[in-house]
Amino acid sequence: MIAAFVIIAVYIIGTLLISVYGHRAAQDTPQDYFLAGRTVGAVAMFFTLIATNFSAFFFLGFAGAGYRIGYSYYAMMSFSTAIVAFAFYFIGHKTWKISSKNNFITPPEMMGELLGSKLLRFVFLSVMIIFTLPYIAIQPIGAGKILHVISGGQIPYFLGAVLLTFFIVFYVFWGGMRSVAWTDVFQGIVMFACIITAMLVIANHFGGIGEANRKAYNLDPQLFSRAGKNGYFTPKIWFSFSLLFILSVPMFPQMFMRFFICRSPKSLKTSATLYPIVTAILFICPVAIGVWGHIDFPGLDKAGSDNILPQMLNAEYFPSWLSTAILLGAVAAFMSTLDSQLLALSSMITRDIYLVFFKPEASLKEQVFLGKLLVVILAIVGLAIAYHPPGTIFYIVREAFTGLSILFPTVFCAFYWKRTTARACILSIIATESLFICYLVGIIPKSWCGGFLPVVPLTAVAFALIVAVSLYPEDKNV
Amino acid sequence: MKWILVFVTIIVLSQDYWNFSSQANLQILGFPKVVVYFFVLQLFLALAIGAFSIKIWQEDK
Repeated sequence: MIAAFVIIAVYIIGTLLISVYGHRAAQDTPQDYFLAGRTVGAVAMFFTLIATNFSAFFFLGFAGAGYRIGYSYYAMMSFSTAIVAFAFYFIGHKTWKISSKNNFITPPEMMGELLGSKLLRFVFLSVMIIFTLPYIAIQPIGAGKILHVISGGQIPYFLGAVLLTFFIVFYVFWGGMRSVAWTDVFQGIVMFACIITAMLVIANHFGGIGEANRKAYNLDPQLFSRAGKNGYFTPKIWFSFSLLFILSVPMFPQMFMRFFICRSPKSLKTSATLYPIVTAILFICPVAIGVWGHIDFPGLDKAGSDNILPQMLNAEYFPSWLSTAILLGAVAAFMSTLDSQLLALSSMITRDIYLVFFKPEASLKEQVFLGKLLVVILAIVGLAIAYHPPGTIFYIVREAFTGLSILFPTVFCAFYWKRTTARACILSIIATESLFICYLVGIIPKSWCGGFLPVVPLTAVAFALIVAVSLYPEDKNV
Repeated sequence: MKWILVFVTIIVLSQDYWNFSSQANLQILGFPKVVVYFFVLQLFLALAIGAFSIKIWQEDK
């Protein structure tokens, strides 16, 4: 147990030292606090994109899905995530150009100013907040549970959640985006090293990767099939997931804001090229662990399979110090996502609500102060929800990808079609989100999607609305 | 012509992917074809994006 606490301490001190370094380079302006002065280079950009996008679901959820679905899950997730790299050009590059030229700080600010509409800015902001705020509550829940396991049950789950959240608040408060981006480099390296080590140690226990696969294959050949166990991944579902990720990932505010912070397009180019390589290599690890889980832990249900990674790490052949280190990789994944979400939300509330509706003449220092204050307030709100999380929180999080993907047509048309109007975008977002709610509550039958996920018809409707309303002549005075 | 070639290759490869048997398809390191196929595909994707970055994606200063 001492080893566990030493490893946790080393990780915390490492993160703190990096954030102190970030703080020393920081200036007291919104551009610097929220966007690291738009000076993030290629290496930091790559790691901050990866660390922000790969939450702890990458560790725990992938292994669980690998257990239930098999290797087909690797193919679907890794490829669908890899093609997100195209969005770095179509959305990221354009965002960087427009935001650095006009000094925009948040995505709603950019969209509102681009199409000259405060209402669009507010609608865009609302969708982003609705689908991001619940994440701020569920991240500490997961982190607290992992810390509980790492400490051998000595740190209660909620105390762990509070400790980790306030540790994150400390370095985000202190150094803003600069600290977040630099700690993401450290956390990203920890994540990569941990998950690869975990796979190799487990494979070694089973006699090597080939032998582990053969054992799992003999137990259940369906785990190795193209469509996954019970034929889950049909071509239509495949297409849907590929579309879902490329549309939704850039629309998460913490990801969208990454496109504002790079020093030059070179950072984005490097990240876009390396992204598919990383997904190709890294995504195998948790899925393979999940598949091999059948050898030692056959017949687990959904809840049991979601816990397959910690179960495998707690096996007697696994050194306890190493399992602690690897679970710390999952904590790093939690932290690197939560810190970015806190900063993204605080910047949007400061710039898109306070500055627009309450105090347009607020000084730069005042904006930074409010941003810092909001990081603390949002963290407390997240913890308060995490204490007794209502079921709706998990429901919203589950549907966040589709909910945010509805913003994509607005961004794409605003960037690439000159006739796009604000009114068309507002109508597109509100109408399509309403349709999505109707689908979720069962007013629209699931069969209407024709075997696809709802993102496919909803995207088509959103694009069609923008085009139709923008071409309508009365639309010009918004 | 180049684009037709790319399109035909994608169709042929995807036909191969959707048609292969789910049985006895362990390949490199015992990983199934479903893994090997997408591993290679993503490496090609990285190469394609790299080439796109150099040739088409212009720097904006």
